[in-house]
Amino acid sequence: MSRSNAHRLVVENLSVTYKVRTSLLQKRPLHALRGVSFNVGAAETLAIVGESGSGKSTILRAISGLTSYDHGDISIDGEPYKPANSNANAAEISLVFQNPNSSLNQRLTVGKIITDPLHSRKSDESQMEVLHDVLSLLKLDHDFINRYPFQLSGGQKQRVAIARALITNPRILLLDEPTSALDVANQDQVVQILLELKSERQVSSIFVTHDLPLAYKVAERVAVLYLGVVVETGTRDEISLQASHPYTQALLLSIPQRKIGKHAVSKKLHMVGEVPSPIDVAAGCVFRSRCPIAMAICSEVAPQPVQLSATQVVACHAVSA
Amino acid sequence: MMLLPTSGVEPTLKVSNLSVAYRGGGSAPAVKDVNLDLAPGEILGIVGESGSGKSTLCMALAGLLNKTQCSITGDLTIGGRSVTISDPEDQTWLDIRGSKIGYIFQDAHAALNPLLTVQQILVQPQTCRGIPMDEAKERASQVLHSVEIPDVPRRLRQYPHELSGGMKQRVVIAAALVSHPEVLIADEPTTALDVTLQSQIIQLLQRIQLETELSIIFISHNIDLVADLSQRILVMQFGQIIEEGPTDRVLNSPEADYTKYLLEFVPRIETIGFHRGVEHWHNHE
Repeated sequence: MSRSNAHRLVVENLSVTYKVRTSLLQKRPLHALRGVSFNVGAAETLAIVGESGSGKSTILRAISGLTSYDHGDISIDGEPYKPANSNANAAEISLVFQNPNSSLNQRLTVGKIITDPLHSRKSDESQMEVLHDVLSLLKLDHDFINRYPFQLSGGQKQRVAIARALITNPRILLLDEPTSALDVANQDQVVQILLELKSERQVSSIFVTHDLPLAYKVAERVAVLYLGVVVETGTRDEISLQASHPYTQALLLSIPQRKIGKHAVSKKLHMVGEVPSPIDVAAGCVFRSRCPIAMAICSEVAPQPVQLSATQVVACHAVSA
Repeated sequence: MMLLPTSGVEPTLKVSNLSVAYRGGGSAPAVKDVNLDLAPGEILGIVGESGSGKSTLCMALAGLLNKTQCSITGDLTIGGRSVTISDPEDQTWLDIRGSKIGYIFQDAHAALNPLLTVQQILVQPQTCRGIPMDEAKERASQVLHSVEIPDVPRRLRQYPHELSGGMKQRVVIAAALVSHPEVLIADEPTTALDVTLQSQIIQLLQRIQLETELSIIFISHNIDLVADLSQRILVMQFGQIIEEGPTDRVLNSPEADYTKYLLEFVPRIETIGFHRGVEHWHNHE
């Protein structure tokens, strides 16, 4: 079988540029994504981990057609996919947003919210049938159909948002920090549901988060994003046990010590500075301004991805295969 | 439930039977019968989920609640002085708030006045206490150095919107420290920040505590983060303290079911390691 058949979603060289007004008369390009490539297998979860401004949400917006992209190739199950004119395949990809309070229409009942994406595709009876299926799947009470979002807790609201995303039976679920607005118990509940979905419905998903331990819990593979560039990709164990990029290592070392059962390091990370502005990023490696091992070449040439194992890829001049 | 960390030492802050009820709320009080002591130089962590009353508790301790919106009862002593906790506009508060007790807010952007420069933000609270302008300016640049802000002279002239999120939070910390407080209350100071900045701010608070020997109350919903920083932990649920003890004891043998549950559901990584054992950050030093 060809490579594309093994992967449900393949994204190659995706670039997105926003125009940002920097002064009254001037607009400058902001390169949110600079040639991002990754793939997601069937019934696999890929976590995209990065800090604010790294472009994580832009990836999801570009794939789902909410933002147009400059260039790049997206394919689903080997078929080229164009989000911009994807009315026919609108049901293939669903997006769950970070904040259920703003993503759910407060004037509609839960039943109406969840069945809305079906439009007129299905008769009313079959709509009710799928609605009940999806409510059971998300462990939501069937009485919720006639309630309004304000009558639900945060965790319940986010499950309604996930139910709405699943009603069209998509092959790919895009999750944009779905648990960051929830407390610990609700977060766990949503995570358990996502794990069940993967095994029961074979849904592939991209889980965007800034929380590496959470990524480790939900995803098989992790991609680390910095200023619009994927700096390292690997299985969850490769990322936690074989981290090679200085930025991936910094993320691991930033985790509160208690979140790591056995930690090999006693010294603390001393990282200085912050993520630079994505406007006018100079040539070379995007991480060099904060990198402890930056060399002369880092400010001249952007590092090419190096394959460390069948699944682990890193882009750093200091790391060789 | 009360536990004195070091018996015989006069606590920097002591509150007994503190209750806060929001008016018109109708239902249960936001904070109910809370007793706590803060020893000099201690870092006390308060953990609880949203709505547990941890922010209300700390705002009451700093006299930041509005008495027309809630009723506050209890006895509070800060630095040996008794404070009228029920009335945040009382003269005792005016002497203490901002000088003996400093507050770090969660949302740095909302906490800084957008119309003032960083220097004005840091100088104003001093001059209104009668400190001469020159001395206040000197102290402002000192405190910016101590919160590890680079290029201080330029930063002093900037407005909050010109600063990044991490920088703004450092300015908020500087504003809390500028009058040499004895108690610092940090209400989720890193929740709005990225993980790499979070660890920078935690290390900064630890360093400041060691240097100035002030006492810190650190609030977070993240029990692991609190554990990294504090010597003693309070767990709050429904406005009450349901568990209290030294950090190691609370984490290793939690008594309350709720604490067990908080510890159980937090996602963790079992162990971390590096490709070929090369860890770029330490080799560099």
